[in-house]
Amino acid sequence: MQIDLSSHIVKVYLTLKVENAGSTPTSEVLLSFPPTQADHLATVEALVTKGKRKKTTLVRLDVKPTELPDAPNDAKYFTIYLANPLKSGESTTIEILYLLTHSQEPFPAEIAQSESQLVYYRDSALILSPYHIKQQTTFIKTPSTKVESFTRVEPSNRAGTEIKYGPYEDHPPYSFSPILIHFENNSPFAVVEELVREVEISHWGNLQVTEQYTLVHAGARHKGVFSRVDYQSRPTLNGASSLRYLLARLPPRVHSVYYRDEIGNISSSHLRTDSRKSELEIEPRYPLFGGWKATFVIGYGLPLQDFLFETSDDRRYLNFTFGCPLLETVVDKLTVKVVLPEGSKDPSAVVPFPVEQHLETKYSYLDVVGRTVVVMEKKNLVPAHNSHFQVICLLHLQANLHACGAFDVGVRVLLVFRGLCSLPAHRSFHTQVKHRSIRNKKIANSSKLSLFRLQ
Amino acid sequence: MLSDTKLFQAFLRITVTSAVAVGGIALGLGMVSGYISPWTGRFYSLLDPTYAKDHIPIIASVSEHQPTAWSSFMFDFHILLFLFPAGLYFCFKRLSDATIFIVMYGLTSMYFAGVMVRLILVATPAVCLISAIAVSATVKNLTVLLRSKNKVVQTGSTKGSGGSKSSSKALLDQSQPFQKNGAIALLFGAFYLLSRYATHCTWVTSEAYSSPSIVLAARGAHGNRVIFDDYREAYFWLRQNTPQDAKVMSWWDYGYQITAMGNRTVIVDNNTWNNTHIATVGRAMSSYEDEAIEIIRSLDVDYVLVVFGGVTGYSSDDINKFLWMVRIGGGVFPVIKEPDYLVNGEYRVDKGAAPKMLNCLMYKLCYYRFGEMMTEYGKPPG
Repeated sequence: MQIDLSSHIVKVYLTLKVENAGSTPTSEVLLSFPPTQADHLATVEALVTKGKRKKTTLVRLDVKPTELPDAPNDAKYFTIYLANPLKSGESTTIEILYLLTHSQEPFPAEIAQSESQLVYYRDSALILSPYHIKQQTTFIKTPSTKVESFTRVEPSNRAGTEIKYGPYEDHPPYSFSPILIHFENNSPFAVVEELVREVEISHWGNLQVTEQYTLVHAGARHKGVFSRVDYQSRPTLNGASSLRYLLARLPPRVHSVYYRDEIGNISSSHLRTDSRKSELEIEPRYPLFGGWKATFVIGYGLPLQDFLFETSDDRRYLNFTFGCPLLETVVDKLTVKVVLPEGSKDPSAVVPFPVEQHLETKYSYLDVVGRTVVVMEKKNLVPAHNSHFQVICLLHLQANLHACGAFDVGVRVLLVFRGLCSLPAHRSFHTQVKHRSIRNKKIANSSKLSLFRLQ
Repeated sequence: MLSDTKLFQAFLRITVTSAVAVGGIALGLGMVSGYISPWTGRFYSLLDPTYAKDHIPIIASVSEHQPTAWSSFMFDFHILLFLFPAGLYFCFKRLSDATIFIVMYGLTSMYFAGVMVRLILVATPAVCLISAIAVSATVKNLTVLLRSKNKVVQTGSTKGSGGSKSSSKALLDQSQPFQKNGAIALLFGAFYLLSRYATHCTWVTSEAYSSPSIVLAARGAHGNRVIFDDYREAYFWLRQNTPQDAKVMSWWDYGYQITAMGNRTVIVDNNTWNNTHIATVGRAMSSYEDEAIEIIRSLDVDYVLVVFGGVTGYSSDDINKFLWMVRIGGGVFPVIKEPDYLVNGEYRVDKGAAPKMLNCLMYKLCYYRFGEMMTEYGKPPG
């Protein structure tokens, strides 16, 4: 087991060699987690290697959360479904990767500008497993060599940035040996508390994405003064854990990128484009220290042909990335809204992980019936969630012409009305000319002429 | 039957009398009830420019109320400055109702523009018109010279034909041989002046009247554009990272900006009419730290904002405005005396500054650890 603590997202790589010690073939392997870890679990992935030594491919396996009635101490379970059932006596190797967020607790909870940030990481030397453990070794990688303390569970050893626990032999199921590591972690603890992403599809050929961020520094809170003199003169010593800049990875061929907040445009950003990707480096207005927050909006446009496709049965689908384009940030709550053009019917979303979906209506320019919005919400995301999702819908082009049709009809009615209104005016002009010429002669005729005008 | 003109005269007389009467009554009512403010000190200073400096320092401190310097005139008017007297001459040359009106308007507004800088705006239409008269008259005379034919003066026949058209065509004076060339040269000169004036106007508009004073731009060492967004950085930090009910004390120049962008309560802002309140803030900024903290606590202030331009060479910061804070504070609280902050009548902020200056709150806040800052490469810090 390898635990990577170098950023604030904890990456755990488990290499499980599972042996079927029972008598029946099984195709399910259970993974269990203590409840505190399960709350902070962002993703669980399982892979199995296939093929010979030179040509190995990784096959992804399904992992689903399951409920077991007699879980000791409220442990949470995930089931891995193997591609081929494992026969009795056989063993197979599964690679599991899971990511934990908010698992590094800053201690001391408040630091001054010149101090570096130290965090706690709590885990167990033995993985919590419903199966008997024959042998286990754990390697923990810290971001720097500065480790204040770590729990010693013999045999344990520390060399440079790596701490080794194990190997442990022959432990019963659900054995748990808590360890606590106190180490220095100055990587930026960027947490986006809330992100609302709106993707608007326009049939004029443009996909407009607007993202509203609430960014917070989730590390040790800042206490004392902030001295700009110190911060700029010795950046490695002062404010080592502050958030100076963030990198966002955007699709290629992006245009009209803007970065602003409530009070105006923020000029400290750089956009570097490539044929394969675009990178937007943004600096918040002020460096973020622990407990400080900043809100901003990033918006950009993309060409529609890169993302909108047609299926074989005349349905259109949008293929776009779900998740926050900022690298190395945790998103606590993400809302993705896909605004479909007017007249779309039967929208549905296909997302590789569970999300909450519902539909809304949005009214925009030249809308008659409103545009359908597919809203998807998810909590606790990491950059690994930046996979593609699809939104499929039926498009009725006739419905799209509603606005044009209404405009057309309106113009026709206006012209007819003007024509109708203008006819009496012409008539009265003529009668007035006549009227004036005969006024002096026959006053009796004027009443007849006025009758004529009224007709 | 009444004829139209008589009816119209009567109608005009009645309308004008009633309009004047209603206006007068409304004005009287307004002044009595206090709806229209009385003739305050700002207007007295138009007639006596030294009035405000002695009696109401806060009005004197506003930079737009200062008497106009010649550089302001040149900056805003450019060539109109010497075309104005020339235009006055041409106006007097052809006196009519219109020119008398413009002369009176121009002279009155120029007098008041000389008293207060912000009244240059009032003088601008008159100055433009009178200068235009000057330019038009000059150019007309020159082009007439250009278009006249080179006639040999013959006493008999030409006199008759010349006399009828003397107003439109001037005969060339034979004693000055190169008049036509001179006219062409002067015309080119006039057009060159006008084109320079147009260039100057567009430059002034872009540099002085369009650039936002809240975002400052400068050229870096490599010619790249460096943007100083410090104001908005500070205001946004206040907005995001301070409690909602925090109170910020700053000089009144930044009051509106803090309220709008920082979304926090300020102690004084641009519209504060209470002179004593502003004087309290001025007194807090110019007292020793232990006295200042008492005043600040009594005002229930959580944050103090000062603007200091020493690192970037920004010249309109709070240290520059500091003497006005002293004068305004001293106008209400006699404990603050302006000579305490000056050395031999001179305002210094370096090592040789007055001891009261070196220990007051504003100085301490601005120059805190400034000695360690490097302002430019190769220069000693601070």
